[in-house]
Amino acid sequence: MKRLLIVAVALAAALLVQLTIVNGLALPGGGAPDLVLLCVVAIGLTGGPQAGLIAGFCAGLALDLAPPANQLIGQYALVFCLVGYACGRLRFTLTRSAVLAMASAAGVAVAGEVLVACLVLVLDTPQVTLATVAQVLPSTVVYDLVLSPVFLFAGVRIAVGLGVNFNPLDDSPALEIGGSAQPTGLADLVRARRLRRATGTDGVGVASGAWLTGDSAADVAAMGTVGWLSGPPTSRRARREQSRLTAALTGAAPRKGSFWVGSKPAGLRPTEGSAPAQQSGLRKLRPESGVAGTAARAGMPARLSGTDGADLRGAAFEGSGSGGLAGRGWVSGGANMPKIAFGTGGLTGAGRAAGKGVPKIAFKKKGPIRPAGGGAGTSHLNPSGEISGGRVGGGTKTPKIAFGTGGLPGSGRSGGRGTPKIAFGSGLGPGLRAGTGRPARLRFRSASTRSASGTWLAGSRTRSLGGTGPRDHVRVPGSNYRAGGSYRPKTPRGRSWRRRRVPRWLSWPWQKGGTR
Amino acid sequence: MRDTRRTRLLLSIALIAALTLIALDYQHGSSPVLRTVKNAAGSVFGAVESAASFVTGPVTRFVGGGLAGSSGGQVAVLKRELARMRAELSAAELSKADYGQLHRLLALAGTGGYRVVAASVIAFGQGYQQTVTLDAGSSDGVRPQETVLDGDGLVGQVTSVTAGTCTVLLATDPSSVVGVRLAPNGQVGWVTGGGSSRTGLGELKLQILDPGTVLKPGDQLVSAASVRDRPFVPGVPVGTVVSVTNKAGALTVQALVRPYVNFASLSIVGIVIAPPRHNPRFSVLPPKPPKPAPPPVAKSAKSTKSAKSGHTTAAGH
Repeated sequence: MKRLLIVAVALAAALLVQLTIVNGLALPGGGAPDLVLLCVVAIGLTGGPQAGLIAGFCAGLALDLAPPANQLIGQYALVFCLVGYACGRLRFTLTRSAVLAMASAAGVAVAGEVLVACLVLVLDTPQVTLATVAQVLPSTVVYDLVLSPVFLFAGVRIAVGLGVNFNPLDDSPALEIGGSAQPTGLADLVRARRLRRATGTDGVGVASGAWLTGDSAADVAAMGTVGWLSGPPTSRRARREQSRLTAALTGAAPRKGSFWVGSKPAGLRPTEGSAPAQQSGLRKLRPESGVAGTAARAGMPARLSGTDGADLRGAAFEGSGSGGLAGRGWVSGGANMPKIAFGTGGLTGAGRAAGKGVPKIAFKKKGPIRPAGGGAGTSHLNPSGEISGGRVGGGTKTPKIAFGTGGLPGSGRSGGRGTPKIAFGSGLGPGLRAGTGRPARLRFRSASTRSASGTWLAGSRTRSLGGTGPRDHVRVPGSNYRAGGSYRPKTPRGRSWRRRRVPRWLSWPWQKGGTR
Repeated sequence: MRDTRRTRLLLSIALIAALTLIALDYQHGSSPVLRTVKNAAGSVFGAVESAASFVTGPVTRFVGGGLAGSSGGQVAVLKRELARMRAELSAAELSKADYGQLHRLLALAGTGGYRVVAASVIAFGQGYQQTVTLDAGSSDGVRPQETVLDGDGLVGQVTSVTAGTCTVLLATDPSSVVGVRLAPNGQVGWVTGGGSSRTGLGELKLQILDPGTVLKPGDQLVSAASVRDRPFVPGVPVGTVVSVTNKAGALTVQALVRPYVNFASLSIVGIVIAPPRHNPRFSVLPPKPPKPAPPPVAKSAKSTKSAKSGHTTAAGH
């Protein structure tokens, strides 16, 4: 409802500004930017095909009907609904890279302008000649190109503020019932079943879906998006916010397959050979890159292997998810059991010292988690740092879990295809360079982690968290996956951000508790 | 957003709806249903626009005036304009500029004997259409097909009217056709819009019916009377010929006309709600820059005659 209102207000404002100011400006070249079109583009790119389509149609109809309009009714409605739909389908670019998203916004805007010109040429009075169009169109296109990143930026900021989920999975026709990613043929079914058996996932889409191969990366990059948008912190408040939400990626993984989450443990240096040498610049989080959170092996389906009988209650997941659990890498399965260290420093041993073949998930025990070192935040959902009932059956001990570490941002690429980056300006600092030993940072903002929480956990990987244990215990809020593993795509969106139990403004005392 | 099948259904519905609307509007432009819808939307949007123009009006006028001045091209004029614009930064000065425009409008209307309703521009057409919305409507006595002018000359004609607003088709619109007379000898012709008014250089295309006419740059044009003075009343200054573009074998004499009105900085305009009792002929024209050149008496008498039967003459040709 709130989103609807904001979209309507934005479109109305754009329309009024367009008609009363912009069209009256004598800009060089004779053209004028089309703010309504750019608004529709931004809405489509952030809201998805349906939102873009409806917004485009309504905005175009309003433009057709608003008084100085002299053209045939329906011209702009036709063009703008196509533009909105196209932008919605291009929404996945938003989660890939900033440049790609901006390029697609600009491209669709230009296409829209050209389409308008064509319709005018075909339908309007014959006196509007190609010469007239050629006179006005270039400058119009230039203005649109200049303004489209601005509108995209504003749109994404607003959408993030509203908790919109940028998961391109939602737009994927491949995942639709009967879509291409749905196992349809016998071979697909067999493959999916094999995959399911091998990975513990339910294999939807994995079998043949190009979409799914990009899905985890997309989620991660979605947070990168926001990181890009948020930029470096400029105020104390922003820094505090960021330190809460920023998770530090250690530049090293002691052993292939180890998964570091949370702050960088003191004294941990990248071991030789563990992190492939990367000269400079952004490090790509690709499988086998050795960066924490990346897949250990290319082509491995994501998996967080738990131990048998692991009993991860929903509460734990909820806490971790909302606390900015972004880490989704593929923790290597296979013979080596993964070592996962959630939490803060001091768990070094837990992560590394695990013997071969001894699965161990170590969590910090009770007590507030300090945002140590790289700034792993505590879970504000679970400020006490303890999750009642959360239990990991790691052998004989059943430690209490403080699951709510800050983000696990560097989730790996889902493997295999290509090497998408978290390049959406994920703000990888200079510390990421290999060999410096300093923790690399990914900056994320809360909203994205919020929005990511549901879908992330919804991903098929999560379900394997339970290992071979009773899956029914894994109940992920806002997830597409229900207990028992049934995939229910009809879950209303935006549930996860409404599920926040402790408001953010209430959470900081606990969060600061560590430093006070 | 997930259900793309539903989204596709919606897309096709939207496309079909849009195409249907276009087809309906294309076939019968005066379909009563569409007209009703458009009128209703016009009054709603018009009210909002006139409210919004309270806020945005000064911005438009300021920026529009500034940029329009710069597109004139003459350095001296530009410098003077710049100095003037610097002096007029304050809102009070802006309203004084409005007052100046209104003053000139009234002077022109008084000279020609037109009864005008003054109105200000509140919205501008989108895309390739040269239209504006004025904040005067049927409640002010405005009806469709009336002449709109400002202190410099002809602006356009009213095409549709709601209670509080009306839409004006500018003379620069490609679909606008204005019957004109050439100032010295009353030759009949018409001008059509060139399609671009925003640059401030929106030139009109003139065609004179008499192939023997010799056009010179600087020749002045006034509007010729339409039948029962609608949509155009006679005698409104239209523009001056800037260049002759005769083509070999063309039936008409063609030229480009620079309008008197600066369409890039329209703000206060007048809608002629009653035609003049006498044809003002060329009396409303501004003096020619080089020499005032009052039309010779003998020719004036001739042109009076032809002016009275202006429309039939045009039709006869």
